[in-house]
Amino acid sequence: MVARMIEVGMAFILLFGMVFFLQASGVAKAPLYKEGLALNEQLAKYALLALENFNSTGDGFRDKSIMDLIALSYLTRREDFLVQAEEDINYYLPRVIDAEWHVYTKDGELDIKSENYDSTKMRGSAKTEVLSFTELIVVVGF
Amino acid sequence: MALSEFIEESWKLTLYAILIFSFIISLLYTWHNYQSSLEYADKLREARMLATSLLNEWGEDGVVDTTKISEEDLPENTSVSFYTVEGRLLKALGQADAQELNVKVPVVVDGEEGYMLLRLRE
Repeated sequence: MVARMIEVGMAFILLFGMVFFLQASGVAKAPLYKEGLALNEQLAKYALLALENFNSTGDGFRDKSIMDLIALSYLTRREDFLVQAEEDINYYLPRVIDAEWHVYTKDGELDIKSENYDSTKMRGSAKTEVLSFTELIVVVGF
Repeated sequence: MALSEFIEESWKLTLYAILIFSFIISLLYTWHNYQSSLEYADKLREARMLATSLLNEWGEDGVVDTTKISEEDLPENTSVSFYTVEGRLLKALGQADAQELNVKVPVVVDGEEGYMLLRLRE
């Protein structure tokens, strides 16, 4: 009797392990993960272009793009350019992207993200140089 | 075969049958999920490639010129709308019915900050 219980128990553990592996490994979602990543990379690229093309909403800055403001903040060391750029990013990105986002510079001067960004699993990014000072990175995820 | 041995054997066989049945169900469930994921991934790929080709056709580097927009560039069961940041519709073309896959891409349309909403029928 004990030998049979051990036999069935081992079979149970083996099959349970295989089932657990199939479910937990995410093998069923692999194609979706790959395409989701590619789509997010594309959206990050267009979000970066939006930072280059979208004009600021701030009084006195309307003739400058968000990227101009970021570059000016490095050139002049004036903080109001960066503050306005952050305001503009917070205004535009939630309206033009249906995903979570994170915009930051490598040196940490700029670092803003959407509310639920930290809970995203699939992320794609695009980056560009801010003159020769640092790199600006945009990440889009869901 | 003694009665006790028969009971013991049938108990073991029943457990094995339950185990194998559960395993088969789990395999089928995983296979079904894989197929659904594959189909949705195809749709995502189609949306991504279509968005890129349309934006390259109708403008460049995230700036769209509406005079270049043509309905002929759109495949069947697809629609494209351009909105300003405030949500004002600038241009709409094509048709996509219920059960759509929506992709929102930030662009400048005729000098205004906005986005392109691409809809594909699933």
